[in-house]
Amino acid sequence: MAYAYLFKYIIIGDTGVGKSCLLLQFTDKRFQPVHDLTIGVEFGARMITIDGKQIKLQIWDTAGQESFRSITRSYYRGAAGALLVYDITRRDTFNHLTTWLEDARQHSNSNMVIMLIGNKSDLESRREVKKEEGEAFAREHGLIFMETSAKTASNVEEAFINTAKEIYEKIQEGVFDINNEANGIKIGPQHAATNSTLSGSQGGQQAGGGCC
Amino acid sequence: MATSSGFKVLYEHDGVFIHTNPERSEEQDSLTSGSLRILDRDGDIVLEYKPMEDVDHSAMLCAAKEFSSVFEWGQRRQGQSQATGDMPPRQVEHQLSCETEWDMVHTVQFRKKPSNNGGGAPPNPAPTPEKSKGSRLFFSLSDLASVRVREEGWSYLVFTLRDRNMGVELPALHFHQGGSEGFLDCLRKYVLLTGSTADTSLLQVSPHSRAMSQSFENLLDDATFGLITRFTQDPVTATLGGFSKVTNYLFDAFRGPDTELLQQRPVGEVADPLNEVIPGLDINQQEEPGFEVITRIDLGVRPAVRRREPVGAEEWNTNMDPEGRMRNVSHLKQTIFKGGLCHSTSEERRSLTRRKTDEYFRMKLQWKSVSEEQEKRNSRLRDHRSLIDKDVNRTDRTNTFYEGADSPGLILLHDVLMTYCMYDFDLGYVQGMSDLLSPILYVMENEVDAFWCFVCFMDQMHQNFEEQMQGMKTQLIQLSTLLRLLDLSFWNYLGAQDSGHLYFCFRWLLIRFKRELSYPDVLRLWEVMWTGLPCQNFHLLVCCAILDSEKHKIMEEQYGFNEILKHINELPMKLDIGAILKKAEAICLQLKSCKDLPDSVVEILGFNSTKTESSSQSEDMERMDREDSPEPSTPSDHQQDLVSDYSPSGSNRHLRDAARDVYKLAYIS
Repeated sequence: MAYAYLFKYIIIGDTGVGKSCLLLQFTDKRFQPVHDLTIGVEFGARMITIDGKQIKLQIWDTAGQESFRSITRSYYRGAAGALLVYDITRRDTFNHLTTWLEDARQHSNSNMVIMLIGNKSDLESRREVKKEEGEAFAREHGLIFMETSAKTASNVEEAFINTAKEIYEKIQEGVFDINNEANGIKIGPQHAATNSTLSGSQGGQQAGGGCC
Repeated sequence: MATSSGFKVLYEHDGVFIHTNPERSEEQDSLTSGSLRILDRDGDIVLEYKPMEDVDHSAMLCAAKEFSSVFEWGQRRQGQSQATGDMPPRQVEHQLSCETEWDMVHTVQFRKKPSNNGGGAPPNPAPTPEKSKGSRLFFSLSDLASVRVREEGWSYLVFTLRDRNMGVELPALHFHQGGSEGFLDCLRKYVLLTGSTADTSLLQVSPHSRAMSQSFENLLDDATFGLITRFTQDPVTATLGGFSKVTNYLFDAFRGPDTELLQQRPVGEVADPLNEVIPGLDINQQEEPGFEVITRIDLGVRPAVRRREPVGAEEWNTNMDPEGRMRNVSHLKQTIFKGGLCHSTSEERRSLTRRKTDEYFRMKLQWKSVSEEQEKRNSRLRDHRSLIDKDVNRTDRTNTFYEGADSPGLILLHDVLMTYCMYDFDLGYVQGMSDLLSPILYVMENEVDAFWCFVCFMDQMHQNFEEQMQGMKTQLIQLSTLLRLLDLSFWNYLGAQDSGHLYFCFRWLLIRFKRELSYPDVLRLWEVMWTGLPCQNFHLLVCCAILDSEKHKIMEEQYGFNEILKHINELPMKLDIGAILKKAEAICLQLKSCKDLPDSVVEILGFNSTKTESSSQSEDMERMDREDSPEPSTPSDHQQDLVSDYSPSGSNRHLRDAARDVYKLAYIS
């Protein structure tokens, strides 16, 4: 499908925080409690519309275990956006955020938009990390923040789309050099011919299966 | 003696003798007197020694030497003597084509006089072999390699001829009546004799410059003669064949790691490798007429030889069909050669099984008995446990064996992984290990057997899971080395797309294609790989085989870093394991027969050792074999397939036995 821009995302965070479930909920609109753990990296894509422009999100979902870090780092390269995910029911996943953030900043381009996500918000009874703590961490490190539930789909769309909006704004401000694919942005074939009938920020989202 | 038309006598001297039995028998030592001549035959200078027609001498000679081989030496290439097997064909052809009386120009004859001819020999026989009398010599000076001059109160000369393989030394010519100096002077007119510094008695013949034909003939020594002959017969093949070889040599000399080396080295040194390479061309016409084969007589390093475990009763029985006939006899002999026969008793094997079972449950008890309080203070154990809990729930849950919330398969998977943490606490649990265990447990259906199988598999895979994933990095580098050799253009393409590190093969290597294939195909592939055949690191060739099938798409569509990763990631369940294995084996055979393989590749694939079995894993496996599973006589097609595909060496024996057990279960139910 023709698109105006392609944004490359990467999802990072401790193992078992729900990275793959977030991706599946976003691309397939379903929650799959039983799925294979991620080895290496997995891939998803979906088309969204921002400001009347078709934007394709190409999302890399990485393995979370520490041992794989040296390899998964190579996928940071060329990402425009990152979802840094922790599990609100496991404090240690929140405690590891600093390490993740350092790693991401070190191995990606400096303009990469990072969205902090506290996942599993449906498990309120088992919460170990308060929402305020997440907000504070995000504020401190200049990140966008949301709590989501891959299970109920709460805030999942918003998390991905708000990140895209932030990237889109940076493009408009000229912060991103869109001609350099190493920034994780690619201009699509449809860029010039923007269709005004599709205007409206989040109106025209379409589930875009596996097309590249 | 008159000269026949077509040649003229340049030198002649009578009274030259041959001692027919100089050493062995005093009383029978006889002298043959004869005439030595140098003849010019149409520009070809030949030397002839012909005995005088002395009946008494000849008869004596024949009588004394009837059964001696003294007269048999030399190159007898006439029709009646057998052409030896190693004689180059061209010489035979040459011989057959010459039917004149001069057919000995390129041969040496020193034959005893046929006894039936002994009486009345014609006075002037043409020098054909049939008519020759007594001991005679006849050769072209162009065949002369050296002359040895000796003094023993009189002078005698020993001629050595050039030969295709070695110098032929003729019997000494004794100048009992003098005249050797005159002969040598005359000889010097036609050949260039140079004294040897090492041996003053030896005069060596240098290539002659007098006649063009002769010097050309001198050039036609063994190595080049065949090339020229072939060139005249088949110029195209010979030329292209020759060029291709030069191309190969230059290509080899300039490509690969040597390139950087050459560029860094001073100009003066750069020529050395070439100088070493090109004079070293050793052309062998005998093996393959039409194309030269480059022979290197470098015998190479003597390979390391491995022994194997003795053949046990179980293995012996698997080579017996239900009626008690032995199968695979040659293979069985090979395995016995490699290890002998094992004499362990059923009781010994039972006790081993007991010991391994005890060991397993002892380790299992260790983690089972850790209290919650203890675990709170043991973060490593806690981390491992929590990760295993998580991952067990995310491993092959669509497989019926692991389906459902409280499937017994899940509990076994969990317990074996936890016990492995106790077995190897330094490593503990790393993601990917549950994928490696799952098929083993599925096949074994028994946690003890599955555990020990898993231990053996992990012995191979351990490095991949270590802290810095050094094993993975090593494998990726090795894969890159192979890929570069096999397909330089694709390798370059990947490099240009920032994909030269081959990270897109990460999952393939970490869990041995477990996620790329259907469950039965994974079992098949692992069985095949656990034989350790046909070479070390065969799984890397499996990677190469898959990439070989995908490269066209990748390159034609001009995939970049992301697209390549995505394309490879989307291959699962689209791969044909049979075709892949076929291609991988073909690549292996191709590389094995390649003579100029880079050392790095030889090293990776283990071509420098005779190791054909995966060694470390086999030992425990062998011991873990059970003795109590008689082979079903009428297995189903699938089971038959499964069973027969296991080679009797290595850990797969275990899977084979397990497969048999699975069958038994099916059979009983």
